[in-house]
Amino acid sequence: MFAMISALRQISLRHLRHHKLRTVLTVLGIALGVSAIVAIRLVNEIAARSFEQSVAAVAGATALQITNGDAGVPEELVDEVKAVRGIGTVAPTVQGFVTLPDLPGERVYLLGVDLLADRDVREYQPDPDAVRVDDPLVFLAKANSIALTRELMAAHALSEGQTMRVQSGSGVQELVIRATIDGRTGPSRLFGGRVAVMDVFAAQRLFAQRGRFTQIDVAQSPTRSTEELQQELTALTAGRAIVERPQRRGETLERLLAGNRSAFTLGAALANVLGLYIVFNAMMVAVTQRRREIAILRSTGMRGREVIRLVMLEALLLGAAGCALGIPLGNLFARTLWSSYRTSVSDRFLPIEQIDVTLTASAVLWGVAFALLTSLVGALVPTRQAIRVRPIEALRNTVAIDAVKPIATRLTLAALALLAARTTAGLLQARRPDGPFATARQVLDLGLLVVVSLGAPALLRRVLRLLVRHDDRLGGVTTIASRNVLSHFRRVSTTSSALLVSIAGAIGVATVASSFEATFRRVLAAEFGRTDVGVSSGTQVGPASAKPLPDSLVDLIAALPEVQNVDPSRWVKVPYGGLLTYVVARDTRVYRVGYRGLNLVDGDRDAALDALEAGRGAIVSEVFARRFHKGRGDVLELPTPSGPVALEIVAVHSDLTDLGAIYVDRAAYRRLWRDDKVTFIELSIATGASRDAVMNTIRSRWGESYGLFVVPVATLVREYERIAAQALFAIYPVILIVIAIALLGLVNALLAAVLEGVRQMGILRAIGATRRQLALSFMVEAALIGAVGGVAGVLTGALVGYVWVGEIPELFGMSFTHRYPLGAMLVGGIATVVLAAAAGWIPGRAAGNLNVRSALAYE
Amino acid sequence: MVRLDRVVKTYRSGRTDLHALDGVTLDIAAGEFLSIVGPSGSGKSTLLHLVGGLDAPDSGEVLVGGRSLAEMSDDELTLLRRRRVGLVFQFFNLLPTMTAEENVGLPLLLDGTPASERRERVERALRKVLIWDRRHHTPDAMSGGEMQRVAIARALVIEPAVLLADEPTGNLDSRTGHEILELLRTTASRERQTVLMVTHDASAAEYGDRIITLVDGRIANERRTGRTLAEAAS
Repeated sequence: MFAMISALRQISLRHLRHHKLRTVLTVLGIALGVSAIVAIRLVNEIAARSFEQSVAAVAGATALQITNGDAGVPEELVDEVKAVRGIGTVAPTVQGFVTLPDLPGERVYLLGVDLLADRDVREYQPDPDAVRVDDPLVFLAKANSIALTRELMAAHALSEGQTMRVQSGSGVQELVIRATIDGRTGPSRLFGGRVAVMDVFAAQRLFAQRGRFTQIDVAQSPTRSTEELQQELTALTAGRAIVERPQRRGETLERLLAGNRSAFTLGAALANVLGLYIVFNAMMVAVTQRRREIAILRSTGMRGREVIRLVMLEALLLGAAGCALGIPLGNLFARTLWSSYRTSVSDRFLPIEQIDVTLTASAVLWGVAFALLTSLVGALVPTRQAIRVRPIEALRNTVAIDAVKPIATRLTLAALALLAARTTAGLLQARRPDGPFATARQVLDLGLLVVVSLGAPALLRRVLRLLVRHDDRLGGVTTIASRNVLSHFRRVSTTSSALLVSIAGAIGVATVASSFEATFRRVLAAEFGRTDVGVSSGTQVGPASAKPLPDSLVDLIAALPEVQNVDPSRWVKVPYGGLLTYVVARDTRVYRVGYRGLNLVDGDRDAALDALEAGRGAIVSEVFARRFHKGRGDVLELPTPSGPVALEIVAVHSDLTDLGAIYVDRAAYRRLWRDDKVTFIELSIATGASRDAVMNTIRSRWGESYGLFVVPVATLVREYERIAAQALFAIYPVILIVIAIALLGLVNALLAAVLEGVRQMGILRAIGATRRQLALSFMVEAALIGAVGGVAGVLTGALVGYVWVGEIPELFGMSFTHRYPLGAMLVGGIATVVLAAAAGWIPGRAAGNLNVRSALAYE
Repeated sequence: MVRLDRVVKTYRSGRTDLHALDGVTLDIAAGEFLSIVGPSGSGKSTLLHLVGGLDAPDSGEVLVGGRSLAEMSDDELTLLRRRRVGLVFQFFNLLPTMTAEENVGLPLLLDGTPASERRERVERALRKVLIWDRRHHTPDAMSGGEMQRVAIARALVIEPAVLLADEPTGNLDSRTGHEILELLRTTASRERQTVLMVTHDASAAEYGDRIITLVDGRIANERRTGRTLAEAAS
């Protein structure tokens, strides 16, 4: 062992020091791979922790929660629950976002709580440094009291006793700040203290939720077990609400995000594969370049296994250096990724806890294991090859050419085997949708991509041979370049595979995005039909942030002479099968008259509309059908404030809801859900009337009192497209990392080629190649590799995109129209060639600057 | 054709200065075949590198065709090697991925010579060194002698005014070595090319018109072999 360490010091370390640039590039390649792994691992861990903490922050000491999505739970349920034997504290709440018209851009999560009861289930620490109201009764005595966090008050120089305007579903109301709470504890922690607390009944009025609460929290019973109570409460609330443990909400969010996480993980897996390629390549080059050195060692008595051990130690050393750099880099990437991830999740689902990104032991261990294992695997193969070469062969003073074994047959067999396995996994998945087969298919897809990528070198060789055959017509530079690639083919072949994987990944993502866009356009065209203007209360597009509006507003808008038609709809989030989904209530008439389209993927339009109008049926979205494994003819049991209701699924409709939707007739909804509010009012303008004038009229008459968001439908469509793009946000940084790694690998491989080909460069310079010609030849060489990797990558990417788009129903629940991003493919192909050529500039310059005499003497 | 005027070249090895050439002055006439002999480290190869513009002297001047190499830019020196100075090495230095005819045509390709002209000149050069029938072979399929013939053809294809040969027979057996030398001598005489040949081998040196012996970077001895340019030409 000591001898090995001594050899490591005298041979390996000296070699690494001597080839500083390449050592740095190798370490950087490993570091980038590690950083991608660590970042993704960290984001996953933090997301899970954050969900738990968010739920705990809101839930406090709550043992059970009684909820019914946005529809809320009927008020009378509180007394019924309180009457249950041995029940703990029962605390109803009303929750939701409000905006502050006097503080543009400010958005606050308002919790309406029963202050007397809520202290038993939640933590509201009065701010010790602020003036506080000792007796909550004083606070409760006035319905317009609100408590803000010290952080929020400090941010806007607010003080107790001050009046502030709050915008909610019922319009704008004036509230008086009568207490300060500590933003660092309890639910106030969420959104960095952007939380307000008020009396639950005052909040009911503010949110126009008369007779309903958002949820009822039940504290731990001193005498009865939670399981026992949950069973009893489930029976009690049957059909009106669901009873669940707070932790379940965290799990629900996890399940909601599963699709997004899968895309994220797929990108990370690509980064890992690429990291492996780069490390493998770097190690292979390192070993090949030292063929002569290894031969000398072997001829002086070092055994093959000792050489392997020495190179393995060196690989561990490089892997460790890659970890040292990659882990902090991963931490940095994780911060950026987490920030956008959290914002997106908070906007789309529920506010989640802000947690500082810090390295965790498991992420570090994961990163270290990846780096060391890939380094070892990457070094082992070429080392085994190197020791098989007889020392005398390696010691010959000639320009070495890489021997390449044809592996086409083996690759084809591997590809066929993977394809068969993938098809089997697909069939099994169809039988057991909840089984592990979806993951198995994804893994097999990745394996298939790797195998296909290994075919890139064969394509590169064919292209080169074609060029060589016609080099009469090519210039000297291209001839040198193509011959150069052939002479160190094995080294650059790994790079071409790596490029193929990264470009294929990027094109795959672009295909998904493009198909997303095409599907969106198609669905949006039907969804918005002939509407011109959308009206809602909120600051953003989408039902998640819109606050309900009174039905009376619909009549007021419809009465405007320039308005031809009005289509009000109500969107409420409801729990179903342990997950959240939307109930969308709309006048069936709008479909009948063709004012709005239906993208039916199953069912008869007229029969479906008849059933809808009669209040006996519902149309479900494709997302809903896939998420809950329901189809036409199935019966949905839905809890409503009027008790359970059974609706038959009469058709399946393709829409854009990420949570899925159950479409019902609005009249039936009003009756069953006891809710006559609307979420959106969409209208069409009479011929000849000005759209902008109508929008201005609505804004000026009712804009302030209802906090209206009045936008042209065209703008809404654009905004929906933006939201859709967010669904894939996590994968883009990962893909960028993947391409960066691939290009870095290319620079690395070419630099190694310069070092390896020093003698050859010397010969070329001696017989009359100028520095410029040599430098250019490297750029052409890189461009050739880029072109082959790029073209093969684009073609493979088209295939990958096709597969991914086909898998979207598994990830997101809705099927997409296939559309290839031809522009992106063309630009991607050209950009790869240009970037690759640019990557060849550094080694090209190094080649041009070689000293001819030393180069000729180079061994 | 070639003139070295008080040329000094010193290399530093660790803390020691090695005087590769120490004030060498030498004139080589057009069409002359000069053999340079001497022990290892005497400066023979350095002299050749300086004439080929592969290296620059510390002091003194090297002139080829009446023009000082010190006045030339790197590109001009490259063009000099591409068009006027042919190089032949001990280890042949052929590109392994190229066939014999591709190796020979490389300087012309780099110079942008039209393909048809290139083909003609490559054929002429290969026939001249009697290796035309092996034109499609890559170096790994050739013997040492064949490889050296290809290397000579690559040097001759540019129709150089000066041919620099560094131990051209150092890696060949005796019989092949003499064949190569005979070839060098014949073709150089026929084309009236100036040849500077570095060799360890005393019998090889006898192929030259004149032999100089370098010792420690200085010309220690100089003699004519008895062959004359006129003789060679005849």
